[in-house]
Amino acid sequence: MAQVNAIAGIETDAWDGLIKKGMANALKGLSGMIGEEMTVKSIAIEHIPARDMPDMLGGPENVVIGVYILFDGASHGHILLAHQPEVAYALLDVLLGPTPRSHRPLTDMERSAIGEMGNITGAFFLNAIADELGVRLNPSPPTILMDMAGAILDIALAEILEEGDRVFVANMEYSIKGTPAAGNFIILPNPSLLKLMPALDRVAA
Amino acid sequence: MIISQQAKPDSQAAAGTAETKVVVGLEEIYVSCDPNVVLSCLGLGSCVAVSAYDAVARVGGMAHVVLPDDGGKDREGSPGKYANTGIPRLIEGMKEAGALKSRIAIKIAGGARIFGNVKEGSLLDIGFRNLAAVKQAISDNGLYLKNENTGGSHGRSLLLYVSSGLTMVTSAVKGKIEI
Repeated sequence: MAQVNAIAGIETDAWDGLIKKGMANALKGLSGMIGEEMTVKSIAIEHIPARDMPDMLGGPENVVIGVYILFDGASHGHILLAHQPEVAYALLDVLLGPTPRSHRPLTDMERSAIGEMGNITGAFFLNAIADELGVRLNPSPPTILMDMAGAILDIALAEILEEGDRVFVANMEYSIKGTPAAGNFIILPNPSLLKLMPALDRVAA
Repeated sequence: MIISQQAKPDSQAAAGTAETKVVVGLEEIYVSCDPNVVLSCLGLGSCVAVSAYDAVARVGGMAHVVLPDDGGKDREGSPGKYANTGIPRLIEGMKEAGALKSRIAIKIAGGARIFGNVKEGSLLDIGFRNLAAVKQAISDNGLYLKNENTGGSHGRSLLLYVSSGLTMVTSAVKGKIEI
């Protein structure tokens, strides 16, 4: 029997299993869209002080290109697909064809392609979670941002900090075949999502 | 919350430079009279960094405000989280370190609307609400707002050099400016 860790009364093994299923599905969706093999390097599911969150993306001042999606329905939360700019440009090369790119504002076409990556990963993740829980979770349209990691995360952290000083966060790092590139897929659920866990024994098993 | 007159060593100090950069994290407050210290709030989006400086006592302080108002709840553990509790606590810390309230100049940065699809002034416009609450708290506490670099839709960092009061804002899109 799996060990049960207690965080605020939540059986976190069930939560971990569910998140890992959702993240694997998200990566499958992203890999299918880009047409390249992608591998999970690590999935960290943690309950950490909010102030430590930007370190997951290389520190608060580190510039990343992110796709931000809110979800609502049975619960709500935040999804962020983030890449270092050079990684995002490599992905754009795959999607749109090779073009010299640098740290400049993205074109409309590039924004659209990046946004679609977020759409696909977010939708694949939410579908897997919602199917397991038997609930509806609806993604918002994606917001594409190129800015400091701390600035991008501020809104999500502000909402979560209204209810406590720690955040429950799932962070998947993945690699893309043929490149040294890696990305981060981060889920910041509202604690109410964790409360939908009681029927999850089958996921933890 | 951190209120201290002692600088914490970090990598820059260890590397042999005179400066000790102190990062004031989310909901933290930091006060220092160490001339080697550079206080900083990094990667501000909707958050607002409030810097305070007494040029005579050479005492500097910074608060990293995340939310506008504690709603009257008693949150002893993290006054720096809210504008209405963080600013009085920052000033208290400055006074404890030897500053005079009448000499304290305030500078602020942040309060951006990172997500362009958020309606201006709406509940989701946390940057706008943070800014309004910070300015209200500055006024309520009889403080002097000397300068600001706020709003817009981009991230920023704010740095305060305790030795001189020099206050710099950096951003990914606007470079580095003094405020």
